[in-house]
Amino acid sequence: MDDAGKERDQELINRFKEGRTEAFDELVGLHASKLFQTAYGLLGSRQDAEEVVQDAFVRAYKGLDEFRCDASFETWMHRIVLNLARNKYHWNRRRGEGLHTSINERARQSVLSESNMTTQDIPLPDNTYGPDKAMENRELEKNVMRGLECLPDTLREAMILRHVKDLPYENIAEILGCKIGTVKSRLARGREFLKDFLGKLDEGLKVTFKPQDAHAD
Amino acid sequence: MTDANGKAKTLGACPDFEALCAYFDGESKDVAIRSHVESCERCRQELAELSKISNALRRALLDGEQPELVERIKAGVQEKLSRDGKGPSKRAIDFPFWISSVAAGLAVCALGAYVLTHMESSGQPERSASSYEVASAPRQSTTLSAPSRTALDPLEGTSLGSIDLKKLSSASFDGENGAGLIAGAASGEHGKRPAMIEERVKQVWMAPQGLDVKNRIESVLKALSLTDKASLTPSEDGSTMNLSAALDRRQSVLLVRALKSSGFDLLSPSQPQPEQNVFRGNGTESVVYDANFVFKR
Repeated sequence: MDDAGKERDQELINRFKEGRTEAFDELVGLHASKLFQTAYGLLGSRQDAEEVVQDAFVRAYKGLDEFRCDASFETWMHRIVLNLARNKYHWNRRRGEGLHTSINERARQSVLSESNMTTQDIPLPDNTYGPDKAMENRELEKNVMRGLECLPDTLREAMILRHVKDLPYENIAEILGCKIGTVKSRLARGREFLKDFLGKLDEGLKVTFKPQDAHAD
Repeated sequence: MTDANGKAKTLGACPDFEALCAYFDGESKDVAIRSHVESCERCRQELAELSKISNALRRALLDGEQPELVERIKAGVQEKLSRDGKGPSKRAIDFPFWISSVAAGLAVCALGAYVLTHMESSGQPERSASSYEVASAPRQSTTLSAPSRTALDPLEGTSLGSIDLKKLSSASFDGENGAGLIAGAASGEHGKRPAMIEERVKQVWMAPQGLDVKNRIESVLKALSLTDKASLTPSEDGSTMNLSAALDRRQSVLLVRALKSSGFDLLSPSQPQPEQNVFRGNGTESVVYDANFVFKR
């Protein structure tokens, strides 16, 4: 976020602390959309994502009086959203199938049910690329999201934070609580996997995710 | 730079993928990488591939958004805060259960003692020393029934179906009464902490299911003699109704309270809130009031 954005947030926070509660409404208006994208990328469900973003703002409202400006409001909110989305994701996963089953599980289940693959085998391609560019783009988006769903949490979170708002590595590191070098590494591995994933889809090959890639930073 | 055959001459070895990604993200300060990729066909292809993936991912994430997302999130936040009793908590940490229980017990005892002490006074709630009324505030006591209810009107036969104007006139403005009185108000207590009404107020209301929204808003405006200051416009798809009004601060407070009394639920946290009693500044300052009424489905 640029300095002007930080100053604007700070001004709204100050106004809120003075008792002008409508300033919080403005903060919600400014940040809701990007936070939703982050939550949606992590959870894959619009309903879950909205729920998580609402809960995050409720927490922020209650804690804003104590908010110190060590980090930017945006970074702080992303951290809250990330934590709530993680909880929601794991809760969904524990709960098993259901309307709000998170994206990773849904993707795997739909693919596995189509092809009788094991959990280590990831989506087969559907060769439905049409001549129309928009259709092609749509297909690419779908496949990129499928690939994203196959990534472990750490890589997926870094990828989403980077692509939601072009967050600088420094901010991503702050949100994820890791070093900048780790962010750099996670983004490169996430992209390498996606590149490989899309390439193999084009070739009609199965893509296998190697779990050992997930944890080494 | 070209070689003897006129082809671009590549400077140095290709950077590893991690360094190339950092360059792609604008996070690399390595000048050598820039010089290299400008002349390396392979690296340029890699960058094009990265760009393709990034753009697709951005589009896919944006695709999750639906119309009125932000308004829905605002509405959800407001609803959850209302359930929690509204207002920012002064306690940021969760105390252990037993401490919370003891505190709750003490609060109940204190409340009981207060009720017993005041039971013999009149049925009217005692006004706090800091509470005051504005001399210029209208003291109408008419109770208006909202007219033209439809058979589906959920407010039919309920107390919410009428507007008690007497209850709507007790807002105070510190600019009209002196800061000393406001200083006496319980700072931080919801409804008594002076709140600012901005020049432009934008709010979202939820209309009860089955209500003739236009009719109800018109009756509220008529009751408050604000008809000539306001305009009502339904959205193209008929899913919302927009109310725009050029008011002063006091009128905006009255309008919000009247709408609340008429059965609408205010979803926005912006001031004026129906239960807020004390406001900053002067009640005659101009306010552009803009509200969207969402129909409950």
